[in-house]
Order: sequence, then structure tokens, then C-alpha cells
Amino acid sequence: MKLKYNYRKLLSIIAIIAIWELLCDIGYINIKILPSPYVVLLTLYKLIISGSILIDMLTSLWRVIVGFLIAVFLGGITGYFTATNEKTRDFLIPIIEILRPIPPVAFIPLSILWFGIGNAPAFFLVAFGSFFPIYTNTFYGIKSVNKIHIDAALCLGASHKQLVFDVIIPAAMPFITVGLKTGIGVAWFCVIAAELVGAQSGLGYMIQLNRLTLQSENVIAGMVMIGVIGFLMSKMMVLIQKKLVPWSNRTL
Amino acid sequence: MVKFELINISKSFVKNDNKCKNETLILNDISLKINSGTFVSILGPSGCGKSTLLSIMAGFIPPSKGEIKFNDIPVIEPKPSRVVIFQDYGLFDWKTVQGNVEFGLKAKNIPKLKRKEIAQYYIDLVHLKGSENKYPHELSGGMKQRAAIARAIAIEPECLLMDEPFGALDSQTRNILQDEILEIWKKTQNTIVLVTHDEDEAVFLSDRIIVLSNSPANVIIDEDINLERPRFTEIRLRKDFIEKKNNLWQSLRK
Repeated sequence: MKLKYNYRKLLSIIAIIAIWELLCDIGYINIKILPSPYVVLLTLYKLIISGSILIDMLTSLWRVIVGFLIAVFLGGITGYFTATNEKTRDFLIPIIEILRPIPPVAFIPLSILWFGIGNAPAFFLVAFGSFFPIYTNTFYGIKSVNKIHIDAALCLGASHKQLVFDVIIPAAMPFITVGLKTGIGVAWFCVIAAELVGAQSGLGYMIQLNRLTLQSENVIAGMVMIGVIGFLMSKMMVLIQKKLVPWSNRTL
Repeated sequence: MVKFELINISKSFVKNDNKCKNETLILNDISLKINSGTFVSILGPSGCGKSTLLSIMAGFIPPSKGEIKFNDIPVIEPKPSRVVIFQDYGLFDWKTVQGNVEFGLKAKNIPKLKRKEIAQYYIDLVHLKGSENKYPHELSGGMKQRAAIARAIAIEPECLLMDEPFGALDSQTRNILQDEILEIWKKTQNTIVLVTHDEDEAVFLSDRIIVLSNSPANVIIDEDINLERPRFTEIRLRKDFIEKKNNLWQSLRK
């Protein structure tokens, strides 16, 4: 039953690619702007063999990791303190709510002005974009900690440290991991957007450069790579989630 | 020796509806002395404020008026010398049974190996051997409450405060756990204060029963239960047991 289901899912993908290939072969599609799947695959293979796309990939990944870790740090801290301290909440929430509705890509021009071209604007954009989902989920996670758990911990003699690290944070973890999962998706989106204009390396830069030189097969090969990496990153977050929340039988 | 002393305890909650302050009196001038090593039940209709009284005894909330002392020292905050057992268990979902039982031991700074050993002893005592590595969501209600009991008694508290601990369980499991809590109490010899609305449970377990009236709660009955110990479930069929139970039943429904 399951096999049949997976086979059906695969079928639609195969059908699309087959139609695409066919339309290119009979000359219905201008292969200058949309090369055939076969050409794309061949190009991707060549780019991998030569290693050039791998370098772009690693560059983008590095930017995502650094920016994302900054966001985890800042989002976690802000989420924790706004949830537990009323003064911090009143002070910080207005700032956060003013910045939140501005899409991270709207910060690209400013980030280039501030940080120039290269890693720095990408770090900034990634951190800025993934901050919000991480912050929000940490905030609600800590807000939703059941009072009975706090009471139980206190009457068992828990110290402040034990209360924070053994009760509040693990209790909030199902929410926090949702924030991390959303955050990594936003981070990947932001790094590609940043590289389209504010960098001279990375996968975003690579597809932009190939557009200028009219090598659409390279553009699509780069896009395939971006898709694959994005997919793998979200799969990896599911594994991390299982590791951080081994006690939850829910899959979020 | 007096363990708990409540002197003229009153508690009211302030509600703010539509700009006008509404003060509701929950507990009205309750004075009690509870002796060390006794099993005392606080019985009352649901919603009468008996859980509030237990929260005050635990130190979770302060009384509005009056004074409360434990071992002659004023109660101002929760302390591991009086551990609460909750109706909803209060187990840490992110910890295994073992981790839950070790929590209070960790707070006492007991070294890891020793902690494991002590936890194992209490897990065996509540008949949870083999479930050490299970998470709470993998346990039945009865097993969860057993784990919560093990976690509480592992730190050897002087007093156990039980807030309708068997209220969420089916009657068979409840009876089994009632027997077990008496067994445990015989070994630990600590003071137990049990809040319940079940007169059968109160008579079966207690040395003394305190009946609270409907809100604002006040002590209307305070009587000793002189049934001999050890008590087994057959005692429920005895005439004097049924009589005591019926008397309480009637006083609760006045």
C-alpha cells in the first residue's frame, strides 16, 4: 500500500519531466531560456565534478550556519527574558513588533550600505530573518510552561538553575524546535536573496551571474542544488527535533 | 508533636469584572493542628476550597489572613520537607521515570551514582520496576501516579500533601493505590495530609477526618477514625465502616 503511494507520488514528477523533455526535443520550447532536463542534469553533473558548485554551496552553507546561530542565540535569549520578565517585555516587544513586518529582503540595500559585499550582509540578513520565528516560538514556549511543573519542581527543592535548565527550557522545547525548523527555512531563503545582490560567491550569486551570461542551464542546475539543500536542511531539523524532544510522540 | 499549625487562616480571591472589584471569600477562619505521623484527610464538596487550603500548606500561595506554621516555623515558600502529590501527577514529560525520581535528589546535590541507587529503590517500592526508562506519556494513569509518589518519597519528606491523588483513576486502580499508599506510609512514618471528596477513601485511609463546609469553607467536622490498622479492603464491608461513611456522606450533602 505504502509502496504504491510512493510510486504514485514519483509518477507526477516523472510525468512533468517527461513532458518538459518532450517539449524541448520537438522544439516547442526555446532551449536558450529553458534547457531540457537532460541538459540540466548533465550541467549539474559537470559542475559537481569540477567542484565549482560545491564551493558555492559551502559558502552559502557557512553563511546560513553563522547567521542562524546568531539568531538562535539572540532569539532564545530575547524570548526567554521577554517571557519571564515583565519589564523586559514592555521594553523590547514594541521594537520587535515594529521590525517584524519588514520583510528581510527589504533590508538588503541597507545591509550592503552597512556591511559592504561578502559574508557580513548575508550573516546580517540570515540572522535578522530567522530571529523572528525563533524568538516568537521561544516566547510562547516559555509562556506555556504548565504551572504544575513549576510547583512540583519547587516543592522538590529545585534551585533556580535547576528550575530554568531542567524544567522551563525542556518544557518549552517542543515550541522552540518548531521555531528552529521555521527559522532554518527562512535562513536559507535569506542567504540566497542576499547573495543575488550583495555577494560575489555562493549559490545565489552563481545563479545571478549565469543569468547575466545567459547560461540558463547553469541557472537551473543552481536552483536544483538550492532546492536539494533546502530539503535536506529541513529533514535535518526533523532529526534534531527528535533528538531535542525525545519524549514527545507528536511529529510537528 | 505538632507538625502543622494553622491559626485563623482565611483566603479570598479578588476578581476584576467590569471595573468593579469582586472579592470572594474561599476559606473562612480555619484553625487546625496536625500531629506528626498522622494520616489526615480534608474532605469537602468539590469547589469548596480544600485544594486552596493545601496550596497554602505547601507554600504555593500565602493566606490572606492568619498564620501557618510547619515545625513551628512560618510557611512562606515551598520546601522539600513537604512534597505535594497532584491529581494530574505533575510529572516532567521530558524526563523518564528514573529522571523524574532523581529530580529531587539532584536538588539535594546527591552524587550521580548514589542518586541512581536511591531512585531504583523507590521505583521498586512503587512497583514500577522495568519502567524506569519510560516517558510519562507511555504510562497509564495509575503508573504515572506511582511515579509521582516515588519522586515525592525519594527525598524523604516529613510530610506528604496529596491533592485528590487518585481522583483521575478508575476505581480498581484507585483501590490498589490506596492499599499501596498505606504500605508506604507504614514504612516512611511521615505525616500525610490528603485532600479528597471521596468519603470512602477518607475513612479507609485516615486517622482523622476534617470536613469542610461549602464556600466559604469552614471546619464543620473534625473526628478521629478509630478503626484498627493495618486496614485491608475487606474493612469496607464492615458495619462501623459503612456507618462512618454514611455519616460523612450526609454531612457533605447538607
